[in-house]
Amino acid sequence: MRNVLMAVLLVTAAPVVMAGQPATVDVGTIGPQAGQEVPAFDLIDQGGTRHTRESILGPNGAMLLFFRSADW
Amino acid sequence: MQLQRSLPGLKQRGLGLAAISYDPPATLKAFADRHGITFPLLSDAGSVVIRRYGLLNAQADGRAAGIPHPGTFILDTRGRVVSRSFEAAYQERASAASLVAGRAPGAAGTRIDTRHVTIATSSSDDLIAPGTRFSLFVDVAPKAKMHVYSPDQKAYIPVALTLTTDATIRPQAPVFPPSEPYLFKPLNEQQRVYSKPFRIVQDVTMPVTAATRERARTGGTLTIAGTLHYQACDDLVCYRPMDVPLTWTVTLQPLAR
Repeated sequence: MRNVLMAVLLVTAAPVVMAGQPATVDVGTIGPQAGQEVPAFDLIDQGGTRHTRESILGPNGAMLLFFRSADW
Repeated sequence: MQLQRSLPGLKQRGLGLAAISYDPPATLKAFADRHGITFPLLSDAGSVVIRRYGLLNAQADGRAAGIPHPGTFILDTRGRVVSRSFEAAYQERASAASLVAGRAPGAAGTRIDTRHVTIATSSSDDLIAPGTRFSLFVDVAPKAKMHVYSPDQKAYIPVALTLTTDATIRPQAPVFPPSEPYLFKPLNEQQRVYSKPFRIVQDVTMPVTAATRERARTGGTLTIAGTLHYQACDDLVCYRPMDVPLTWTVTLQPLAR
């Protein structure tokens, strides 16, 4: 009985990622979604100036980008 | 750098601009100086904010550990997401064909979400030489209960696609699929809409000029920018018309001799 239960659990469990076969990310589901408020932040820029979620906003809002790196 | 060139346009539209990466301020300063960047590049040391936003690329390791899935948010004046645009991750399959091509087949492009629709951009070809005509695709999927107006619906704001073009790309007319009839009950009006996922096909040609040949010779990528205009309504109300920025990126290759 226990073996049958284990077999059922293995079959219904999420697929295991095998080496050499990277799992894909559905980028549509990650991060804040349309209509949601983005998380607060308080970061220093390239000139040493502090910016927050509020301070980057212009009269109509803002474009906020996340990029991989400035170094490569 | 492309974003720097967009800055005056963003200012005109009353939008602020900031970019976040895990680089230290000194690296960001060197990058900003090199590319003439005047907008804030924010240093998220340790990827704390990247994690807070749920954007950490958990598969990146080594030197790349801590990088985000790159993407863009357009925020309103209350810091809420109006639209978001992310590069779809490559779907890698270990097939011989894909290894020979040097490039994985499957999903690539951007994935954009608004309150009303999801939008995915992709192209028919990834390697483009001057003289090539290829297709840009915009796949629009209205969300639950939503519909957008098709180009044959004259009295409303129809869905439209425009491209920002320069000498490197000549657009053809975009092709829209047949629309569906829809009875908008609040006004008892027969309309032409798209309420199910549909694809817009926008062919473009890269002409053969001295400039495009030189650009292709040095390889690199070309990013084509466009805007999707639409007005969405659900079964009760109509929403504010939207202008959603889109991009497609292709790799340039020289003309074969």
